[in-house]
Amino acid sequence: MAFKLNKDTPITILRILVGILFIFSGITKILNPSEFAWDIDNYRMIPYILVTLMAIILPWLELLCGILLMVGPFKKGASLILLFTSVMFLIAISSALFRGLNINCGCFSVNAESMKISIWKLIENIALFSALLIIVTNLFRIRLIKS
Amino acid sequence: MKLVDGRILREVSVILGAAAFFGLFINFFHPHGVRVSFTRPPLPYADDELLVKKLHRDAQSSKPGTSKGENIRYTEPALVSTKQVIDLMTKNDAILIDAREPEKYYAEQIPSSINIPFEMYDLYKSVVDTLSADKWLICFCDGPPCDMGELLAHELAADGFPKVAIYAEGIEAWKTLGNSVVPEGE
Repeated sequence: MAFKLNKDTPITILRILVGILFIFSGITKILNPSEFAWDIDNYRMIPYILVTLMAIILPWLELLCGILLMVGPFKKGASLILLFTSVMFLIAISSALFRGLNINCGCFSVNAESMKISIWKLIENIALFSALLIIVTNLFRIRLIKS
Repeated sequence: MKLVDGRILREVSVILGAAAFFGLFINFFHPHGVRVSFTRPPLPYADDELLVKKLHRDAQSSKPGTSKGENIRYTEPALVSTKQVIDLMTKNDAILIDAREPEKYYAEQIPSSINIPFEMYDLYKSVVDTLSADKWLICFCDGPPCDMGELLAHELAADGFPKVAIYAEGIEAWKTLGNSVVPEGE
């Protein structure tokens, strides 16, 4: 089957890349939810009960949305959820930077030295947010044109 | 422009429901699962007897302070309380290691602690090489949410030190409990 380039190809590639990123992120957190709970708790932003629920559910949300963003019929819903989570990450990282917290980001891995909160983590997350915004805008524009 | 209609809401609900189902189900059987709770679980401090036994047994069979690589055995760091820190320091069985940045360490430090900033671990390799394997290396920083002490402890353990401990409550708890801190030079 020949692969043809069209105007949607860049967005498709972007969806696949972002999807892979979230699949990887979800799997690393699923492997060690207690470490991820520790990372979330270190932000000191939400009650502990929400920390535990987020540590349990968020990695699976990332994994499922990552898969669906690439292949699924639910890619619009998945893209909206991922956009919302990326906004959440941005608020959390900005808040931690503002408060001068020296903690693990908990972004794409757990308990890794390279995952310390820094301005680079913020820039990474802004880039991710921008990619998701492009994807969401594109997916919903296609729907609007068809209707 | 209608961004969210009934179909999109259904998609979002199904994905959220599936994530919650898989998450809660797998977490139930997960060896590192999270216990759902309204309150933070108490820190699992090391047993006092274990602190004494472990160091003499492990210290003889390890060659720490070398770079990561061959024949290095990783021993999981123990978590110690303020009382255990004081006991070990009183017996001269421990070295307190402040994992914070040098500026913070110079401004305020626990007496007789040394400084190995976690973020400058490689620069402080010469200091790491002078650490004794016969003593507990107790790593700490400000206390929660700071986790540099924990991260430093894992680095030292990965370098083969057999007796590494984490004083997670950190310098803030140390002060709160009425223990002294000194600026550099005192």
